[in-house]
Amino acid sequence: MKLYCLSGHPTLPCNVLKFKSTTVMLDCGLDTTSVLNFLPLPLVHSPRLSKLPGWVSKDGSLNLEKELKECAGRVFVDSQPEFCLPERELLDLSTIDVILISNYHCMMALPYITEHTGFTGTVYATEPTLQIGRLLMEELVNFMERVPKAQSATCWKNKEIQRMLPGPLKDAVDVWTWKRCYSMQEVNSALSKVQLVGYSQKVELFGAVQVSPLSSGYSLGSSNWIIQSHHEKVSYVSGSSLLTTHPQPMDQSSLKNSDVLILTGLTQMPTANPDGMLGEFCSNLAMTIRAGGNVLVPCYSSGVIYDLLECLYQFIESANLGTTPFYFISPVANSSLEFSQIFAEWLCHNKQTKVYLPEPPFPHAELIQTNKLKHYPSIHGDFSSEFRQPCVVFTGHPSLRFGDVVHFMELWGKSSLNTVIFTEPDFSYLDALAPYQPLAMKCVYCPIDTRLNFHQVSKLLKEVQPLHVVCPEQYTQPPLTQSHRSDLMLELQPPPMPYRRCSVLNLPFRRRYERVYILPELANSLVPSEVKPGVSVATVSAVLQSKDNKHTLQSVPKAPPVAPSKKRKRVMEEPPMTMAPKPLLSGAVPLEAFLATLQKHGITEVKVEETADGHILHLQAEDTLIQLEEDGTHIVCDNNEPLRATLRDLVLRFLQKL
Amino acid sequence: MDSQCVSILPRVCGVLLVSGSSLPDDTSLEKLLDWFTTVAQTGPSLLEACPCLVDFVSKVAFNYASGSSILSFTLKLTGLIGASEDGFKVLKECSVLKLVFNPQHWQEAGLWEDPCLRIGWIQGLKMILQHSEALSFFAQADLIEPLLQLQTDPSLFVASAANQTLAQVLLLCQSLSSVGHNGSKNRDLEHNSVSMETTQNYSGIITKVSEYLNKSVVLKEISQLPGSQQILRLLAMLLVRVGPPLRDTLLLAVMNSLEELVTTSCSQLTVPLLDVILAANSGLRDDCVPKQRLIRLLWAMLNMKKPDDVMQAAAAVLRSHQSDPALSAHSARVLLLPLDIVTGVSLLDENSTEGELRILITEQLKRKSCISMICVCLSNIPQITLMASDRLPCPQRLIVTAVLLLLRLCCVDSSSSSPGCVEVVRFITGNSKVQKCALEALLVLSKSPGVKMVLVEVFKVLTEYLNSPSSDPSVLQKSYQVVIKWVGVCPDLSCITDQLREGFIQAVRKRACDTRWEARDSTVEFLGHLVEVPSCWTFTEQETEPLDVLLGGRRFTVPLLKEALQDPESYVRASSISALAQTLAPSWQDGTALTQEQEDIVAQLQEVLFQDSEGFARRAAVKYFTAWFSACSSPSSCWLLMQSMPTVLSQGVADLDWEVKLHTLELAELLLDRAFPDPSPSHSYAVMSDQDHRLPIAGHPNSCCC
Repeated sequence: MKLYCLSGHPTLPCNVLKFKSTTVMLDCGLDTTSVLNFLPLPLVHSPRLSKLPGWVSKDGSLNLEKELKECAGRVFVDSQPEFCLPERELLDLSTIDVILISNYHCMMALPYITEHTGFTGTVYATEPTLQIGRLLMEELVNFMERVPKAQSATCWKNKEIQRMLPGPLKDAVDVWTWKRCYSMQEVNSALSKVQLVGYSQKVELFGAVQVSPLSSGYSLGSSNWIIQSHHEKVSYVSGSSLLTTHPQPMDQSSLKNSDVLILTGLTQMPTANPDGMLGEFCSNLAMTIRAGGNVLVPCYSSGVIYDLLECLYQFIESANLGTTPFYFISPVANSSLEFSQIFAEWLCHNKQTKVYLPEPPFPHAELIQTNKLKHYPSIHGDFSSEFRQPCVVFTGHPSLRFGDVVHFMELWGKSSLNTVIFTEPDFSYLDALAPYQPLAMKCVYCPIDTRLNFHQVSKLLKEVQPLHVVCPEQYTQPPLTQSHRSDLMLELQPPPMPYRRCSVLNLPFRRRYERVYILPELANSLVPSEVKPGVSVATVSAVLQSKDNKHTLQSVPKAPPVAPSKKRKRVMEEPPMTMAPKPLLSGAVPLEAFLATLQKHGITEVKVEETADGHILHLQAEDTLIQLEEDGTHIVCDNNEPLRATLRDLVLRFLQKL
Repeated sequence: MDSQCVSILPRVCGVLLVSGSSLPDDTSLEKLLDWFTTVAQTGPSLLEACPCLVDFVSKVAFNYASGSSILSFTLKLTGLIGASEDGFKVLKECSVLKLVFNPQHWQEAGLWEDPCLRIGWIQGLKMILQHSEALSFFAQADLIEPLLQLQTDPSLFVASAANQTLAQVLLLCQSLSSVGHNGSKNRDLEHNSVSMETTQNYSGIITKVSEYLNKSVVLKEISQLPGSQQILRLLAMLLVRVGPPLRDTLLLAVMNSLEELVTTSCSQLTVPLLDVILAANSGLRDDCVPKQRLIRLLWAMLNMKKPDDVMQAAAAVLRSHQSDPALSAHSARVLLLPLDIVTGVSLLDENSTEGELRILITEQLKRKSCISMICVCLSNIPQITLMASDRLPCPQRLIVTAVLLLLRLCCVDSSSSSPGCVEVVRFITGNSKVQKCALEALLVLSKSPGVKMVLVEVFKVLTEYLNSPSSDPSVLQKSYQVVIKWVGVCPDLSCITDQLREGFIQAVRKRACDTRWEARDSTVEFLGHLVEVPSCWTFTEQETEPLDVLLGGRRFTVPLLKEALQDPESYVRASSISALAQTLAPSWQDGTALTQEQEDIVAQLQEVLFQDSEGFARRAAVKYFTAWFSACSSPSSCWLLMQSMPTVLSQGVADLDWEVKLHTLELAELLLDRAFPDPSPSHSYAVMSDQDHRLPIAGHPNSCCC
């Protein structure tokens, strides 16, 4: 059993598990942090961005004015942003049989894997994962395509040149593998390969293994996966949450008794308590609005935004924010808000019960009805006529490199009355803000990450007790910035197996058993004999048929009739040669009784020697040796076949025949 | 009414006699007993008032069929009657006394098993033990034996009452003996001279008690633990209550046993044992032998094997203000050890003798139970700061540094690391219990000499706490209190830079918008309290208010408080009204012209009085006007105040909340005081109050509504 690790990002994993005869990809997350090296894509012409000076090395020997721009001491690539893809050289992607998706954030690289690679397999995901994942992909494509940039910068990627660039560009890895965003056509093609599954539904893969998604409590339709054969069980834990938010709670008990548990997707903010952050978000928001400023919340169009809106729904009245407009701007804003209301079976119990009442599960419906929350596909069109300040705007992309958020950053960045509140933990907020410097607006970092923290995960692992744990190497040591916090790492016994990008791990357990079916008529013909109380054995002579990874023992076909009959001809394979099997022996030869028997048969001069494994009997008169050992008996007798046969028969008297 | 009660009492007694065990509820009996007590205390004698009671008592005593509650009641009643010497004589003459207080009598009847009866017996006995006659009876009837047996009764109520009664017996012995020795007069014993026989009785009782205590204090097996704890509690109580000669006798009697008990190192007995030792120690002269032995015992406890026990012992020693300097100094060192280890700040010198303890505590700090140990350490810092500076193991400034570092380690958002014990960080980070204890310690440490130098550090840490999203509301409240305290004791705030101030302002502003009402409430309260902190000096050497230095003055706080008037939580609205009153009080005193803002506030407050659904806010609104009226040097010249008064008064008295009414009447009283300053009332209908010629206010016994 092997694990190929194609991504080193702990929360955007992409691993391939080779288990029995199957090749299963576990998630295909897309690391979008690479876009932080690029200049933002403004929706309307930005004089500030267009006037940024091009970069020339200090000694003037290197001039990349057209590709690289300088802003507040940092250098950015002036090109269509590119993403860092999962590793594609480690194994042949066309050999992947299935891809299991655990949540919509972990499928963003899907088109890169399924398209143009020869992939012919199936992708399994839950319905909300597929639908919301599609929205996020559509949004990403839309963000990129509506601000087309003809230029594609490549010179800076030259190894020699990159080495001379200032950081962090200099330190970016595998820049040659970075790719531009996929097209909508590729998205559609990739998503057409998805087959929907429900929680706890068992899916057979070629009869060899069974996979099954379990609720992971992180987002709508998010799942962990169980991959098991009859005798082995591998659990794949991706983004999971034990907090009571909108999704169905996490199914923990089904993870019990795993041989291997692959653990990914823990919180990226182990020291930030989501409740505290939510409170922080609300108080900063209220503080800004009261002072007459605007609030910008760069966020994804699905996920935490539902919780933010729910929290604000309760907070608006108490903070006297009733008249402040809330805008949600995204190409998929409408679909996202509406989809969330219809996935009743994927919601937490509390919200599920609301489905049976005349009220929607999420309170954002009420905010929309009362005109407190308005949503628009973009800043163009209706929004511009209805836009009122001070207001709160939720929009993407959280990297601040593309999407409508770029416009608001340009618009509001100059006033210290305004605040940008970061809630998504995926990007460093300081890096995100770098191309907007100098910035007067206030910046607040309230990352809300509801995924498991180290305390919760160690409790979970104690509960489910996997034999081995495999995890990203980041989880095996405290974070760099808090090296004294030994509680912010996994401490397990045996220690977890760490992986990094491009690791290939031999998972530390051996398959020892295989299930074989036996046909009833064959079973009927068996003659079991009891070797010890409660244990019976029988010999089986049969034909083993293996098909679709299922093994069946069938009766040995009888020899074909000598004369051809007139019955319909059947295609028969050549019957295997049948030989009467030798009887199997079991039991042990008791020394005293055996010596007595030998004496009865006239063999009296026996010298017994004790060895490590048993005894050696030296029949001195006959010059013969009998070795009695735990797992065998040998008679060493030269040129005296009758004696050997006699001795053999004497030994056999003490053994059971099957 | 009493005479009516007395007249029906014989019939009541008759009913009680025949009621047997059918009485469903004994509260009526308790009430009856209360009434008897009042009669006994106020009238000449209970028997004189209710002569039928003796008959009732004797009938019940011979009637086993009575229910246990009736019997218990009768025993207590007998005690009440026998508390006076006359009553005692009557009871003795009709031989009821001996029978009623004879445990054998009740045991034979099979009633002693009932704790209800035992408690009646004890309380009756306790009531009767008021005079020498009773004590003689107690000694002659050898009641000390059953009373001692009841000291560790399985029923806690019985055991506790037995403890109290035993103390009563000893106190009585003591007071009677002193009469015997000194010949001084005692109210109870005016006509008595204490006979030789009686003195022997007393000493017999004391000997028995001493023997009993000596025997019972030693813990023979673990199953006797509750009994041992009870005995130690009894001993501590006795040592506190009885005077010198008797206390010395008791102490000498139990000393060996105490020494033996200390060596058992049983954690459950540490606290009661310490109570005993400290109770014994408190009144002894330094040079007496028992004192030296007690000091040795305390040293032994400070050298026990379990760090928790040692910490508790050290804390107890410090709290008891021991006169032994070495002992207190060692206790302070022990208590500071966890702080030293956790923070790595060298509070204790290297050559210390507590090396082994250091290892034990370090081990304990790696476990979750470290929280309680650190909290014990922090909560005893106030005691340590009270010690003379030459006895302190380190300068107080160092303790402040260590507490500040600990606070940083506890803060979730801090990236501070400790040069001390690393393992402890996982337990204390974000732990609000430790945070509160540390803040409490910091509060006390503000008084330490020479710590003004660290004001900036303190301010930074507190701002960090106020800013941290993970801070619990109670931690925020404590942080605000510490700010007030430190700012109050630091006459020079010139070290507060603009950057620090800006950070602090942001934190306060954010907390005023917190989602948790407790946080908003504490913030609003803080804004009010800050106004009352005395003036300080800035770097320009100008006298200025801390409010101005920290928050930029009223132009910052008033808008925040006005926002808080709209808060959905009534506590916050009430606090904001009070804080506004505190904030505006100086301008009222100065007679500064009203601003539009103040006029708006008055309008809002009137709205609160009319419309607020919660009493807290309305009460605060009335008090606001009272504060305004009191602070205003010339209320009549303040048109807005005078204009608002009728509305406030008419609305306030009509309020359904009695406290609003009360505060309105106080305002009215103030108004009348100002209107009629002359002490002699000029109007014929005025009611004079008892002392200061002020008009009475509602709530006073002789109140008069005006």
